Amino acid sequence: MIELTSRISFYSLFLMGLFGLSACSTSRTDLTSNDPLPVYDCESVVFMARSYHTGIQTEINFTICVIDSLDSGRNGINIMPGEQFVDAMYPWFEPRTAPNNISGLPKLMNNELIARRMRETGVRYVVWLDGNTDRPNGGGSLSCAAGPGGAGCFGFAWWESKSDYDAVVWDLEDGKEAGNIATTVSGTSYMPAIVIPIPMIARTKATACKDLSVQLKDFIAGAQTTGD
Amino acid sequence: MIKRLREPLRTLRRRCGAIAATLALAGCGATVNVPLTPLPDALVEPLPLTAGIRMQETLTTYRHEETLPTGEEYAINVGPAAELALSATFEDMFARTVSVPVGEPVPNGIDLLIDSDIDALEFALPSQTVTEDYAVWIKFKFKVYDSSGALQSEFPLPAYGKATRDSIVSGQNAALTSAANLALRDAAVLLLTRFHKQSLLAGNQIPEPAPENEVLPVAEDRATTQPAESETDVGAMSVPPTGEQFL
Repeated sequence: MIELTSRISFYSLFLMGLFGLSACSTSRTDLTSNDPLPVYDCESVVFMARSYHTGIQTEINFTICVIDSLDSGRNGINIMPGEQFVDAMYPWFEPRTAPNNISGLPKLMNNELIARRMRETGVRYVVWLDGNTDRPNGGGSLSCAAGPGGAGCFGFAWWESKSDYDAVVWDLEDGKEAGNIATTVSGTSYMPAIVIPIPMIARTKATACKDLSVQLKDFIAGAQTTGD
Repeated sequence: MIKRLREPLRTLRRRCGAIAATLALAGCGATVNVPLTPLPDALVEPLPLTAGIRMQETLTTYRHEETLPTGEEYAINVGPAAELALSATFEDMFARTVSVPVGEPVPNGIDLLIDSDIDALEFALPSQTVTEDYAVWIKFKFKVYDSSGALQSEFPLPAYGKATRDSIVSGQNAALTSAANLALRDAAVLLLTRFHKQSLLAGNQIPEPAPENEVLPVAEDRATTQPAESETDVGAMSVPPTGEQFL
């Protein structure tokens, strides 16, 4: 019995190795902007998730993933933590009070207190992250059981994932929207199980994070400048 | 051999018992004591007024208790944190604040008195919303009196906070605490940004600062009929009849 289980597990691992990377996904990224953004060493960028008052908020781990990608490497960008910026601007960038679009910014900056604090923070760009990962469809059946002789799973399950995110970049100095990057990644994950489940996961969120970060880095850090 | 195994088995049984007890307790609800995360200094110009601040005992000791249809019992103690949040916010809003205990007369030299209370608290769990989010709503109730003690306006202020449980380790207590703290911060933000539109200060009717140690005469016509702004979700301000006395 043990030998049979080992053999099935071996074949399962073999199948996993064979199909392990076969979960497929498609990706599309669009960048709408005029020119690369100049960002000086003394300036920083802040990433903010859209308010939960206006709908589903972007997952925290996605925001962290984008920040980590941009913060690392040779052309790392000076990034101010979102919480620090929100606290510095309290109460004007709270979920309820943050401007929904760029047209709300001039009114805010007309207030000398707010404009002065904004200059003090050194933040040049605010990047608003919006979107989320959804599972629009799925199916199949997979069941697991355990007994005195061992445990195992049998069946087949699948599900679709769609990661739809966009990053809108506001230039606080010019008071205009500097660019917009949208990425959509769709994929289907499969999980056949013969004694042990063999996950073939389409990592749509990770792909979306990578695609968005690459574009943002080219867009912002690509023109990183020294001086003041 | 059996003797040798007895002790590890006993330890294992004890550990399993502890895990089972923990899991059983986790299904029985929670008691959350909300400590206030300090609010940042507000980026607002304080109004040149002296405000009397009165917190009703129902606010300072507010505790919400609820038993869900599943039998889970929840208790959220939000009173002390709400008192701290409102006190800090009023200090940011006005040049000077004076604490006025319940039942005591309005002291001399104040320009307005703000009476604060909590009307209701509601919460939602992931199992109810079919999301990963914990949400807390707190409905505050404010009354604004002028220096003579006449009610100028009263308005509700519904605040909302939402938090996601980061991991199994952080637990639902941490998520509920975070959601309640965000609701308190939301209330503070609403006060800081919209108080002047919701209270007697509507229509720029900022009263003249009262001279030190002098009680102003009762105004004859102090009703304000400024409607709440349609785009705000603070709720409509209700204005009592002129001259209504509450103190």
